[in-house]
Amino acid sequence: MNVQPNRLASGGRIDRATTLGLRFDGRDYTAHPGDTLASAFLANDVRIVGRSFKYHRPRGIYSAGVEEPNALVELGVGARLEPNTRATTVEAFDGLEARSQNRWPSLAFDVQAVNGLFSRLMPAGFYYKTFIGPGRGTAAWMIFEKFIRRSAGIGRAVMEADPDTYEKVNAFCDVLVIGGGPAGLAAALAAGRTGARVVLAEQQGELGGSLLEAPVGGDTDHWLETMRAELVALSNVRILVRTTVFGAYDGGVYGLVERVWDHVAIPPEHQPRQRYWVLRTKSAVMATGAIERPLVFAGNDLPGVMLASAARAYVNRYAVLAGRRVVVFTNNDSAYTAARDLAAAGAAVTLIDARGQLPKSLTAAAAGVEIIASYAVACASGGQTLGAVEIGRVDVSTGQVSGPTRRLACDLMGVSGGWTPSVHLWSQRGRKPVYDVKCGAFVPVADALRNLLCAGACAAAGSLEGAIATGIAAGLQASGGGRRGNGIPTAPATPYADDWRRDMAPLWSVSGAGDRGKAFVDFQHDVTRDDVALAHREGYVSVEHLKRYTTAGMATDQGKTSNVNALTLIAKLQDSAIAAAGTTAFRPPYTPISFGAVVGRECGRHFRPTRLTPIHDWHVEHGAVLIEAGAWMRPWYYPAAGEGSEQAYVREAAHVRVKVGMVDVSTLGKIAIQGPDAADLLERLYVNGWKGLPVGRLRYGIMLREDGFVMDDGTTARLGETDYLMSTTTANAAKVLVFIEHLLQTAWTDLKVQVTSVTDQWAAIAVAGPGARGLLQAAVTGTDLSAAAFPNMSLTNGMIAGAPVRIHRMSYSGELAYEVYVPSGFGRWVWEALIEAGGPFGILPYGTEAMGALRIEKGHVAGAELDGRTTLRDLGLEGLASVKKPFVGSVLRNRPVLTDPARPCLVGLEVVEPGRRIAAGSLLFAAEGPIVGHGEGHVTSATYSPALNRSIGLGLLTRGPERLGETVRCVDLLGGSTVHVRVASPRFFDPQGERQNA
Amino acid sequence: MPEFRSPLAACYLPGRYGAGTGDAPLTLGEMPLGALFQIAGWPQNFATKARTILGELGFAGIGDYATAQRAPGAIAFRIAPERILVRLFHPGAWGAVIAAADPVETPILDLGHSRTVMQIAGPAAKELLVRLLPLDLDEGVFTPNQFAQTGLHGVSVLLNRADDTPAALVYDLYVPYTWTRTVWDMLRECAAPFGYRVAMTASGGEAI
Repeated sequence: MNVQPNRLASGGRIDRATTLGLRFDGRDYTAHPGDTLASAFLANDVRIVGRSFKYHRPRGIYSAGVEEPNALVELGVGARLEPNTRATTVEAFDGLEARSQNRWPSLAFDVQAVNGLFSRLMPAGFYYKTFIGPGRGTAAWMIFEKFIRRSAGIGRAVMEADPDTYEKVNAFCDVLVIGGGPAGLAAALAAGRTGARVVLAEQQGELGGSLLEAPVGGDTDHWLETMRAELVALSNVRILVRTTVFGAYDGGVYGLVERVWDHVAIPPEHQPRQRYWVLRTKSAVMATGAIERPLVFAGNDLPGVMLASAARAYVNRYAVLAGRRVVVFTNNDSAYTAARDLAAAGAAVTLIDARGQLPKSLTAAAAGVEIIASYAVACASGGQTLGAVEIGRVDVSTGQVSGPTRRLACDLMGVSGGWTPSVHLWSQRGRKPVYDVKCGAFVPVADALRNLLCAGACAAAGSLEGAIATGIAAGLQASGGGRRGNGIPTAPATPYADDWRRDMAPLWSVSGAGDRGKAFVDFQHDVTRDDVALAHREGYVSVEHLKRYTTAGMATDQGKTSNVNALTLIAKLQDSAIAAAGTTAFRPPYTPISFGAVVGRECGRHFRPTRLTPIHDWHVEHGAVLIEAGAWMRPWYYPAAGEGSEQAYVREAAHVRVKVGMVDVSTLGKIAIQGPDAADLLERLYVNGWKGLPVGRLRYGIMLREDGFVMDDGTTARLGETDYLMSTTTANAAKVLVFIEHLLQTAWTDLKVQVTSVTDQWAAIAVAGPGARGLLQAAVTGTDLSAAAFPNMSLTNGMIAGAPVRIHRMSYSGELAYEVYVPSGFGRWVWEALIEAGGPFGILPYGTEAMGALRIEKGHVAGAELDGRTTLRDLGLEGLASVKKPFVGSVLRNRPVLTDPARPCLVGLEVVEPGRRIAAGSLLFAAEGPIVGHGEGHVTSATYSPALNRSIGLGLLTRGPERLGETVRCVDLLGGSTVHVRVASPRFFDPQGERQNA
Repeated sequence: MPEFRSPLAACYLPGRYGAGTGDAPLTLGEMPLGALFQIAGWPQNFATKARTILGELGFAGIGDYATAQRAPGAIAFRIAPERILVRLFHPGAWGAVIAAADPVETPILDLGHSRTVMQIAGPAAKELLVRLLPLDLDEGVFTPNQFAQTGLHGVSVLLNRADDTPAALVYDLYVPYTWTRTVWDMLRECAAPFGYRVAMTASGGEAI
């Protein structure tokens, strides 16, 4: 393995006693615990880590945190491969494997770097102009798109199933502190000491924030340790590290992702890789810091150019000196700290300050650093990495360099164009930050959000002392602990000139003498200064349009290092104030979060909850093929040996017609309706009358929506004087209950009725066929089931094998049939008792497909016909509606559009051609004429009828009842078939109902 | 006698599962429901009428919407302004309830087969439940005897804190019968990182 040529001999917050092995692009390197992948790269002098998006320019590490725009690598292998991972946030671990992206065949030699030669042809917007323009319509684009898609993007997605698990957690607290830097620590401790329930979330693996970038062993370390120790000891403070607060939502709800085991190759068994927190808090303190801003100049993307604070972080936190001849280019005081620490580490440092007036206290703090004032870097140059810069005298007001330039050789450059407070979460709450001229940044409006306070650098507190003070104040305010301090240790004195707001020069972009090559605004999307100017020339003056036209700020870094520079360029082009340009809207997530975390455990069999009938296990044990019916799993058919689905259901349906079958109908909705006004309720809900229904009888009913369309149908039984049981379709059970509750609570508050779902209380078994009565008479005790004593549409109570049952005589299949209701826990017991009693009668179970075939033969409507677009008249059920009483939908059902005689109405369809089938959803066209448009109707249900020995269906056809006997075409546009069918009555089988009334 | 079958019959296997070995910080189990019924009524006189019936069972009043009422062998949850859910651990008192009720003024609804009771116990019980329920279960908030109607994996459930002290956390989760298996599977999956034990049934048998 390689020695780490850039690792300093001492210092850093790393564990030198342990060496980690990692691999990048097939080469082995070493690192230490405490390193990130980026610091490991730099320690090992890996300067090029990727290729840029469009031009495939070599790119190196630019930052030390989440704002990293360049160092995106592919991490892991196989199913755990993760593209577009920022090397600056990956914690190094032994066995880490990473690969560079967006290059072929290698990072050093990338064929697509030739794009750079054609860069003049590839400005912003070139896709639209080049590939959509040619020819008419989108034909040209559809050809080009295939090639563009192959080269688009940076990383590659994984198509294998994720082997890791993820979980979700709900949490509640009084104060959420976002950020574990100095301001956040102060806020958390201030709030914690008041006794409030505090959650402190820090995106890095340890607390400290910017303090971790200070030299090891300084006064700030002591302060940090003191704060950390007390916070850990407080039982009312929960500390979450490796946790990013990615979203701020209404009602004090925040989304967090905790990277529980991202820092190892494979999580321990049973442990989730990541944890998604839905946190609800009364108040929050945003202490998210600020991100250093680049300066825009030619060649600013060369590997070796990075943020000044990043260069300092690599020296102090990771003991890595990424260059020996360093140029620091700045417009503010904060870079002096970086220059000083780089010099102390042994680099020869030259600091280029665009400002002319520099106080002695500032220059004295940068001991060992050559300072050149009133100058700016016009251009960075080198081969694949930084080799030198050209500097010249600069007019800060224009950014123009003029006069003779000087060339400085260097291998590392730190840039600082100011700081951009991280206001994303605050903005997600619908607020717009305002531009502060002094800070040169967009800052949150103080007290704009009552329960989201800002502290520290994100509130433009430019010094460590200010950060801590604002943190204390925010923590106390958030916890309701008053505005006086409660003894939090004050800021330690530091030798740094750390207030970046002091006399910051409004310089964002440098051009003029010595300016050669591209000047990048957005590194990740290869957006240059010229692209922004082009967008302006082409009329995209709004910042929202500029963003989308150039794609500046739209990459995975969401413009953390580019947004403000883009805005300032627009403002300059428009000759307007920066404040007028405004910002684009920030939306979650703040940093990318994995789909796994969002999904949590709700994937695979837990994608949604599953509902099982009380008899489910019996069906499975006896070979039923199951089908989803909403959330339910129902037996679809029970295949005999060698049978396919069609053979099975045809056999089952035929068996019911000649012998007896039983089907599990426990999924039907069941609603208990209780109270003295129960009958009144039914009168108002259903289209037909209910007040005259005697106790012990059933009645079929249809209910409409308020707009007059059919909502649902079912059978309701009167169990007692004030006690009814309503049944609904499986699909509409919840909808109907909600509908009734809504009416009782808003419109019908006068009714004394309670409605309660009892779908779970009762299992239900339909027994149907000529042998049904005989079977039940053999199985049921305690009641008379003879035809005379138990007429159709009545109910009785009895016992089956010692279990209490209620039996409804009613038929869905058109055969002599009964529904047996039994308490759920006895459901299987009774089912098995019926199977046993049914042996002599030839009992067989049947599934939903056979059930469907039977009801289609009878012309009974079901969900396919009650699809929310049909009326009573459409379905031939107009006669059911009472003319004597109002009911829901009674007025609007008579709208002219719903009584139009040309509306499609229910008909039966018999397939004319032997052996042909029709499919539900097919369109109906007249026998002659072109097949264009939507036809004259459609097929709602279709099956093979064992009773009729042919394929049949139900459909809705314009003026259907007037066209009986006519032959029409049934056209399946998706399947590509046309079948001739004869229009018939939907009551194909036993139209007089003799069998069910036997 | 008809055999009662739990919705978990096919998958309930006592034993230790998940992370770790030895004692587990979580115990999951199904408890017998006993009898469950709903008392309902009308705003004009529900308080009076319900109090009469509940008094027959030993309850002091009609309760509030967050605190369960306890009586010897029974527990009651006021789940809506005019609805109370009553669980009798031993169904023998059922007859007295019916006798005391006027079906016109206080309709009674037998729900004795509509729910399954899952018990979650142990030091990690709270941490498990916050992975599934959007409830603040902190010690000072969800105190002993509190109950809440909420959603777990899209299923309507009722959670009751059944212990007396934080040293022995016990929660009862009332789940609709037909949703029981999916909720149980989800509970177990979320419990795996902690390590958990599936308890023997209350009757001491291997499985229901």
